[in-house]
Amino acid sequence: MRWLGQIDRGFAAPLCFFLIAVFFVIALLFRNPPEPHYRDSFGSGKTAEWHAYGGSWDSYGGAIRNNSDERGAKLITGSSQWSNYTVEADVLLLGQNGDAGLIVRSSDEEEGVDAYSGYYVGLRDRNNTMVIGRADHGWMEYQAVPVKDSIHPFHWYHLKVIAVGCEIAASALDPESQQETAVAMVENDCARKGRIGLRSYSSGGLWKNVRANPAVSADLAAIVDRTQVADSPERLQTEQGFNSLLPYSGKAVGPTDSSSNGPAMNIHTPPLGSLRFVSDIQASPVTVRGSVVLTAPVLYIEDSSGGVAVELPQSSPVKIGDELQVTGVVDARPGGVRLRNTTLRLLWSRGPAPPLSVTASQAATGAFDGMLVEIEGRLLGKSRVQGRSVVLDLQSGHQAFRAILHGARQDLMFDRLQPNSLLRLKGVCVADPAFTENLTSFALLLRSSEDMGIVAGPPWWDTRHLVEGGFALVILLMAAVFIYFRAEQWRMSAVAEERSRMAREIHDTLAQSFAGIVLQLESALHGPRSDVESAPVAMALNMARQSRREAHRSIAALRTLHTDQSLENMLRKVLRPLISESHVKLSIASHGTPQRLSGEAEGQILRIAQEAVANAIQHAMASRISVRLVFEERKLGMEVEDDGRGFEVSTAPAFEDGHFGITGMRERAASMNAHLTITSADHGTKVTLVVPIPPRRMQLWKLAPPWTQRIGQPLRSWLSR
Amino acid sequence: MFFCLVTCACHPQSSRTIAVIPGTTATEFWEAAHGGAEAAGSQTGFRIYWNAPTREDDIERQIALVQRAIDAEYAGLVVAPTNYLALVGSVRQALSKHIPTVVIRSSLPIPPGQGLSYILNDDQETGRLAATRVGMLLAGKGQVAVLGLDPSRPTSILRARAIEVELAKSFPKISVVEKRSGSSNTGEVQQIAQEILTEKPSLDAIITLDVTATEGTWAALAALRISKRVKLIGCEQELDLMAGIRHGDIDSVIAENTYEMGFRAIQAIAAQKRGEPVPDKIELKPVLVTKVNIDKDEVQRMLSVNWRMPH
Repeated sequence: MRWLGQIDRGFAAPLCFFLIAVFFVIALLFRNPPEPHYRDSFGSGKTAEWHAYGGSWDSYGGAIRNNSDERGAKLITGSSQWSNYTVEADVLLLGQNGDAGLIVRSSDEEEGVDAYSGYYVGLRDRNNTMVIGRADHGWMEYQAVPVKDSIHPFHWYHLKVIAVGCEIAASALDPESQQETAVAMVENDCARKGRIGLRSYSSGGLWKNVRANPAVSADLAAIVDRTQVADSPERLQTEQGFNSLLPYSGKAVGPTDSSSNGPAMNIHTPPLGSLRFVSDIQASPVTVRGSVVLTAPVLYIEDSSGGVAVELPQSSPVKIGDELQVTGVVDARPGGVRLRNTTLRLLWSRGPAPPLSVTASQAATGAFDGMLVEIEGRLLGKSRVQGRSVVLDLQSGHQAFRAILHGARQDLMFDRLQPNSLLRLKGVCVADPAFTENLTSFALLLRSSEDMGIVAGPPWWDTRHLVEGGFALVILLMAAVFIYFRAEQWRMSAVAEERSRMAREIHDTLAQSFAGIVLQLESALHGPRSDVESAPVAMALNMARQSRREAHRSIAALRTLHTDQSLENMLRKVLRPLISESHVKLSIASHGTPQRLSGEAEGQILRIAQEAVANAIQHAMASRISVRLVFEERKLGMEVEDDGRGFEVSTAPAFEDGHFGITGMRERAASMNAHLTITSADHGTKVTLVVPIPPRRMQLWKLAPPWTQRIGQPLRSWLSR
Repeated sequence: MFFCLVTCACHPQSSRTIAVIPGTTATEFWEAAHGGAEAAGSQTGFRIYWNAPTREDDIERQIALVQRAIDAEYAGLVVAPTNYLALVGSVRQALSKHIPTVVIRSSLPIPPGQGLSYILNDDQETGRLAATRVGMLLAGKGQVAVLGLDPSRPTSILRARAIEVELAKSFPKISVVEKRSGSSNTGEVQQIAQEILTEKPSLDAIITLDVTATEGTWAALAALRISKRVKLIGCEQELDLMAGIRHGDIDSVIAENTYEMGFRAIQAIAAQKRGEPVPDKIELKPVLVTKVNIDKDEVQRMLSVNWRMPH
């Protein structure tokens, strides 16, 4: 584990984070799949866990109903990770010439007849067969087994589907006759996981007691032992196979006489739009035809000319899309046409017609009364009425209207809707005051929660979002400032580190060399060699000594700067060594509230102080030197005063002993916009420096917790580079 | 691995996916096209996205699916328009985004070229075959009704016109006594057919222009028990119509080669992707399916809906 110790401490945290993330991903991939346990709550009207792909779904008498003839309407629930399980339900077909059943191992679902990947087992009344097959955005029928006693609409069957490994088997039990039919299939490259679903094709359907539980091979064997297992769909997918296996009954798709007391089919019927002009003074029955666009709370039928409400004679099992012939008395009111005292004849079952797209202003004219339309509107409010209906208040342009959903899967939509969302709604346009309450010019009666689509959520600039956004902005700003100052601190630390390194370098190289040169020159000057000219050697010796002192001052200054010490303490550190070999008394004092200056400025102040003190010691022969710092709000004053012999400031040399003297001090002062004054008399010299202090900056970095320094280590290295 | 993740994110699966949007799905007529598309897809290395509206007259849903393919920037688009005009905007948008597009079965008012090509059924030949069959069945003399006209589909108009032209040219003693529009609902067509048969009791044959019209007319003939007397010649195929042919209730069906449409459409897009030229327009010959030739390999191949098995 030695390599661990070699990892840069700065990379330890990201590495740990990465390893933890990898661990979680692996754990996620290899976790135990969820157990398939499900029991429906249709009895209490809860259906929110189901997702619809087509159809018109609602809770109905403890069951869930697809009240639509749409081909391949699906309702899906469960986990995509469910693998081996049994699904069972009681299934009832609501019409003829279709099928209804269960889906297992479903994935990749979307609207469309076979637009999913999975297996379907259905009861088909068109040819009285129980079918099983594979759907993968297309249908491959593996088996179609005739059902004894036929399949009857409006009759409950118990359907059970078992999926284990790559084998799917199913049984259908007629509870009355106790006749059971079984189908089974096996697929090599099978779908091994997926959700469960309910599906109907053309007939609509009812499902109740839907349950899912884990299954094992023994469960499968109970069905497989009683039937052949189809391993290929080939035969049913060719014309010869299809027509040789299925019984031929001729073509019989004609009008369905579901109402024994209904009138005969009337070929010539008036368009529904013309019923508005029927006089109700001498009311006589009329016969009309139309397709069902709504079944609850009122039955509506429409044709291309208009739509009417129909009073049902009794609980008639009509579905959306059914073509009806209706005979009744016309009740034409301003709020819409209604047919009373009616008798119905179900002509055909067909898929629901697509709605007409209209604007709210067009709908408000009444031209589309009783017709299925599609309108966009912005949601203003929502409410529940007596627990049975959901009422949405909407606005489109200058038109206000309401949308009413009666019964169907309200739990799914109500919580999802947010005020100010833009909705696209499909429903029957009605002007009946029973629905509009004379508050709006029209209302839309929705068929199911699937009739409502959210085009766009509420705009982000509402009050709550603005407050949240402002709060987030402040937090971000604070974080940015914090990071900036933290980075600045890291940069300064890096600079300090670099200066220390330079100080070490100067000490180990330059200063040592000067020491060596001084020794050599001293030995040359005082040695036995007489041919050495003493004056130049003495001068070189002097210069070397001076350079050595300069080097030590630089070292002292470099080591002192950029620490957390005050300027007063730094002065003590750099000035004390200057007087160590003399009897000069040095006093350093500070007045006012100490403030930190930039590192650069503090460096220049130290060097000016060093120069002034060095001059006082070397040239003025001073016995006392006082250094005084005076901090004011916007400036710092520094006075270096000695009691030595003065000098004529105006004639002071520009360069002195090879190094910058007064000129250097003036240049250093100028570099930080400071003002340097030197006054000298016989009894001493006074160097006064006035440095402007910029406005104080926030020091948020002081709030930063210590761990940020550890995280910032790599950044600091990078900054120092 | 990181590179792979980034690459996959930037170039999603859609870059190797071709969207095929027929008029509807789960009908034998269109599932054959699905088979053709899948077979060509596996040959050329493209994945096929297959979906369509649940009703053939749901234009809005078809436009939405085409739009989805455009937004996902699929490698190509194959569409069988359900309306002559409604899809013009969407197809033009696909072309403007340089998505190679093949329109199958029924044409659009957009000239081919610049990424657009057509693979259509030869509707003139369909009409000619229907007229020739009727002329042969009626021995050159009788009354015929044409059912299933749809003014919004050029296919329908072309077929009806070709029938009349061929009858006038080759069988002048056969007259078209009734031409009626159809419906997307079988029951509704059945009612229309029963009206015609009631009003024209001396009718000898009915030519239907699409599957729904054929099924509705078949049901009407069965309901009136006159399927042996009044000959039914249908356009477009479904497997249960073939059962009607086998049992003599339907005389014949003129089958379109939708398998080949799907197959060639994917090949054309693959060729465009390779920078190779593709023909602007291909018209595939239909085949008259009768009790005599229904078991021939050529016919059975056209009728196969096994979209997962190579033909």
